[in-house]
Amino acid sequence: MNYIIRLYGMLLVSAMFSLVIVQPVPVTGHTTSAAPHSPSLTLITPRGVQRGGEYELNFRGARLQDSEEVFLYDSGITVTAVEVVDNANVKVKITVDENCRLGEHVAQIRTRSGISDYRSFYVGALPSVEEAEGNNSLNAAQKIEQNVTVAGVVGSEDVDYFAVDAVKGQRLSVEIEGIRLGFMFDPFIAILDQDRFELAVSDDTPLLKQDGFVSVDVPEDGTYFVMVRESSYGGNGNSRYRLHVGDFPRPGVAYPAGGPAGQTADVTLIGDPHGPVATQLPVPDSYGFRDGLFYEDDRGMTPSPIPFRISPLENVLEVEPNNNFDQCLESEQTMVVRAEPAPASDEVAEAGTCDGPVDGEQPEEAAPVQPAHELPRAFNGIIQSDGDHDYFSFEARKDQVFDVECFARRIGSGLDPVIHVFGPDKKSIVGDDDSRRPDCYVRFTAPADGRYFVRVMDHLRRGREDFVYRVEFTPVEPELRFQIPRVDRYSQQRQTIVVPQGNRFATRISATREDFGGELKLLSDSLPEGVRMIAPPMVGNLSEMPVVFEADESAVVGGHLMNWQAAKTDDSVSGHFFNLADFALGNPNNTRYYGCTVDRVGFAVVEKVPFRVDIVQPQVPMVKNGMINLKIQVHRDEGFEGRVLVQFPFRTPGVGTRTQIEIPADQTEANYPLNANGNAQLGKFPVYVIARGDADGQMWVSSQMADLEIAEPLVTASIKRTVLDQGQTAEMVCEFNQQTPFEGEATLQLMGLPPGVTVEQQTFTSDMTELRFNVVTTAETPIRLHKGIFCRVTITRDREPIASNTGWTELQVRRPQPPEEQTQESDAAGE
Amino acid sequence: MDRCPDHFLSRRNILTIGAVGGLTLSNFFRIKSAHADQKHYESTEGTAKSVIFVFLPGGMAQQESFDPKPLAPLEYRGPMGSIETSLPGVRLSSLWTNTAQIMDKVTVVRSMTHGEAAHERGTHNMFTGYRPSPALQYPSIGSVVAHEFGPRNNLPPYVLIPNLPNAYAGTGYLSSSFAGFALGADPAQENFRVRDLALPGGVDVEHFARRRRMLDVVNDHFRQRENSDALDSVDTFYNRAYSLISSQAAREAFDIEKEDDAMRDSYGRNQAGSRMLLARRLVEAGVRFVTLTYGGWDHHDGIEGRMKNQVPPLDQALSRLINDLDDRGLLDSTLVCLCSEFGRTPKINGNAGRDHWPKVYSLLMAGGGIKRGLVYGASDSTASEPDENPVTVQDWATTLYKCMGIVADKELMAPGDRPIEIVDGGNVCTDILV
Repeated sequence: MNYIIRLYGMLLVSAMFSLVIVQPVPVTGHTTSAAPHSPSLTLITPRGVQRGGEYELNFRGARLQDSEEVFLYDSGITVTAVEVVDNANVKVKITVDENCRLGEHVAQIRTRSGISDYRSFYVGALPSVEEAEGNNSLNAAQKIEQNVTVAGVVGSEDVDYFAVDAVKGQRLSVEIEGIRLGFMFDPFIAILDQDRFELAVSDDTPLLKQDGFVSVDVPEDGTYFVMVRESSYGGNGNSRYRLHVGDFPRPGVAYPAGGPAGQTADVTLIGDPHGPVATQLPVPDSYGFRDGLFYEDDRGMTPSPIPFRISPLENVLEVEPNNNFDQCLESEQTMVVRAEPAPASDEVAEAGTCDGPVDGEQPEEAAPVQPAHELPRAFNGIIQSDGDHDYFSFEARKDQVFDVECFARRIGSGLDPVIHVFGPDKKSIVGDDDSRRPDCYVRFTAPADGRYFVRVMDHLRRGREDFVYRVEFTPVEPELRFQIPRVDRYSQQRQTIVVPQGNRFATRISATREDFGGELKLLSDSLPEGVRMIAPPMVGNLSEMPVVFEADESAVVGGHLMNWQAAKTDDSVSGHFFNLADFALGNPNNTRYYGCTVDRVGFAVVEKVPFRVDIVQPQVPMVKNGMINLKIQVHRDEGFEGRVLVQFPFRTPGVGTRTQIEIPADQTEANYPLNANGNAQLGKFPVYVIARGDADGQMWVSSQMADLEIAEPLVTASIKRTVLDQGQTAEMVCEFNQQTPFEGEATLQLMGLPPGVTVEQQTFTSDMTELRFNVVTTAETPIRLHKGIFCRVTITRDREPIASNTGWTELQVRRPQPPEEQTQESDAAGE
Repeated sequence: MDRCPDHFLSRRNILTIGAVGGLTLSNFFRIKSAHADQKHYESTEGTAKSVIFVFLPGGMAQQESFDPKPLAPLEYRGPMGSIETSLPGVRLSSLWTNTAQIMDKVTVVRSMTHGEAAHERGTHNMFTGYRPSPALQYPSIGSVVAHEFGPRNNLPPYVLIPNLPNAYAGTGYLSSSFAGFALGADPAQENFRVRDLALPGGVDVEHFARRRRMLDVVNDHFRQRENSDALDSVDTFYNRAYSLISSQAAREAFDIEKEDDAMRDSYGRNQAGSRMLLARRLVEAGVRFVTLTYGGWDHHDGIEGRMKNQVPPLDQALSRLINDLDDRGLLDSTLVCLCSEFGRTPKINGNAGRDHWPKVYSLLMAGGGIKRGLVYGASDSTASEPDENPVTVQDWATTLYKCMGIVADKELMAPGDRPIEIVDGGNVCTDILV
């Protein structure tokens, strides 16, 4: 099963396959000769536009003065011009298609020196009006027409009121985009009548999380008030909102909430004030992050998508009563199984209205009776009333394994589902509550052939007419996905590939293999001319790998959104890149309240930067419990005299190092210290360093891909614990275990000695089995057991040191005997 | 016998309720027995007449402060080097250059340990000596000191610089009259003035006395109708506030401007320096327990840069404080304790920081009966676990109380007239006492 399905459960437009290639457009405005780097993008305004028009957006950020291009991750929008205003602002002219998908659209800027963060803006179906401040009471409510989108801001303790006329029997819907605009703003909305009574309120919703929506049946002709505030009367300049007000439909959940891609789905939309709506809706033909079903009637269209799983599974709809095993078996005698996907249709059938929930109804096109369902299937139902339990039965054979995913909150339902799978003996085999927070998941292995049951209920035994769920039984399938690990906890820093002309850039790749193992390879089919990707296969037991990109000096400055793929080396499993950015973080502990996922990576060749770095390939291995200094050279162009910060990001198991070292402005090389512990993984691994130079922003380049070999130590040693009195001298015996012969002499240095203790550095050769030397203590040597003393053995090969720690031991320093006792002892000895 | 004044569930009430709700005779006698057995010890001033409790919220890394591991693997060792100190063989992290020079005057405990890896729970530990409990709010050490000794020289016994740092620095189950006096302003700011310490503008002494007499009339009226801890507490607060406002010497204790420029510069004109200098003035004037906080030490990322920003002012102020107290002859009667709620992980994480680690961490104590020039306890080679002489929070708190002359085994009365030990089960670390 695809990861995207599991994680987001909504379908879409695979931006992956519907990439809008944005042609470079004329750039106007001033540019400067000072090279900016690491551009950032913080805000796109206005926060939304109406589809079917031309607009000018302002992209605000930093170091944007050499902007050239805008990357758009979603279809339906064309960039017609990019005009640089200043370092922090870029005007972008766009054309939005008439049929552009509604909702969130993601964009980022490519400059001649980098790629910005990605941010989003919204496309709506309704014309926009601006909030006019002063609308802070019912008496001063801002008058608006129906079917508009109000763009406003909630300040601290601010309450905004809007007055709208409506007639009896009309549907009045309100939906707010607040936290979805990318800042920590938790809005609260309400519809009030003329007597100030609340007709409906909404703070948080299962569908829109911190954002809310309401839809009411207008009781009388008159003026109604829409109120907007922050849920706890907070607010600030970033508490922007887009408020959709009108008589458009705004159901909350679809039932069933899944169907095959590219088909027409028969669904019932629940949540409209006029009752459930049975209709047919077109299903997108591929998976995506920002899509779902959009419902349109003669009054308008839902402002945001209704979550819907794109799934090839056959749908099974519940038939009530199915509240226990016996009822389940009885009800399934009449159950409908949609054995085939719904017929394709290019047109959405006219929406009809049904009188109530579908449970218990006998559809007209009854399918053959199913004594038990053969998996894989998707079981769909609604926990309609308090205490409701839904049971389904299915056939499984011994050792069949299925992933059982229950979707509820992920499809906009308020249900907090709990699932259990029961055996033919009606005893529970496996169950789950919150693995998918708060949805659930289990992996089920059938212990024997037979008829099994799955039960769904609410965690608090609640039930409501919109508590829709969907339980998918799918065979276990391997999955692969990968991303660039974050280098900063809360930003998108270095989450793109930016290669300077005539230079290199590198990153780590973090892959997740599910239900398979083995070596992986990275694929790059869309690199521009003059750019190469160096990516040795990822070792089977590792989940990270380094990748270096090299650009020729002649490579053309430009970029695109790269559809980056990876695969098992035998091509049996493949997967692709994804990235999840934090858009709204809040308490506690910077919890992500709203994020944005993309499935391609921004790639660019940028202008030259004035320095390069290289690793001097080490000629000797680093051994277990050993260390090595990796020599790093920096080559600065004339005119660049800054310091260079170097990092060593990719470390194989057991290898450790410092996070960063600095090569000062007056130096051209430095040693990057590495060490390996006693369990370090043996082998030869690709490594790189990435280096930062500062200009106007940060310039990042990498070294070439070098090799680092981890090997067994050539010799190990052991030293027995030594005991002596303070101020005395004792002999220590170091016994060697020579594992690999070496030439010349090795040095042995005792480390971790306490104060007042001296031991001379020793040498030994490959044929020696032991070494004896004296430990000298003084009156300053503390009287106690001194731990953590060890030998550092250094062997030189090819004029490079192979250093390792070995022979950990202890030194017990005792209090010296009093002189009189010594005298007595000597007297006794004399006698 | 002390009674908990602020709870409806007195022993008498329990008996009454028991008559209705089924309290058995055996339960009654068990409660009665508990009262009879309440452990009581008279608190008399100990070696530490005052305490300056420097709390570094967030969890300062032991590796980048008092317990560097210069021979550990790089990923454990961290980005900082280490330096020698005035104690042979004892090293501190490289930023603590001034503290290294006063190591012969202080004790560093390198084997503190507890099991609470969340900030609020670790903080609760260090402010109360107890693990948090949903059943009871424990008083802070400062409030216990206020409870046991009361004010000295018309000064509040417990002062918080600059503000109440967290919910656990309060009075817990004790009466709110033992709350700390919070400055309400940062002494590092220009024109620093302690809130509510001076008469309001336009109010002279005569006016003030008249107002107070009027207030007394009103209070007497309420006191005849109500009997609650809240009123008593307010009364206590007012009385102490009157004492403060009316005492020139007491007011001047809070006036950092009385220090000359050279002294202020030597502490550092920053948060750490100003707060510690004010703390010294306060204990010199008679305040028994001063709690001050400095910085944020939750270094999950970029620990090198953050330590370089925060440690130098702290290092300068701390060493100056110890030397200043010593020069004035106050160090032997003033206990300085610098600590965090926990330490940080042995290994540097992927963001060049360290995460929470309560299993072993370090703190520094000096003066007030604490030995000079001692490193007590040890962590293992990677600062992962205590290796020698582990010190629990209870042990540390019991030792602190011991220095102040309070027997931590003493029981105070909590709601429901439950006798609760000041510290439950700690042992005095006699090895660190003079």
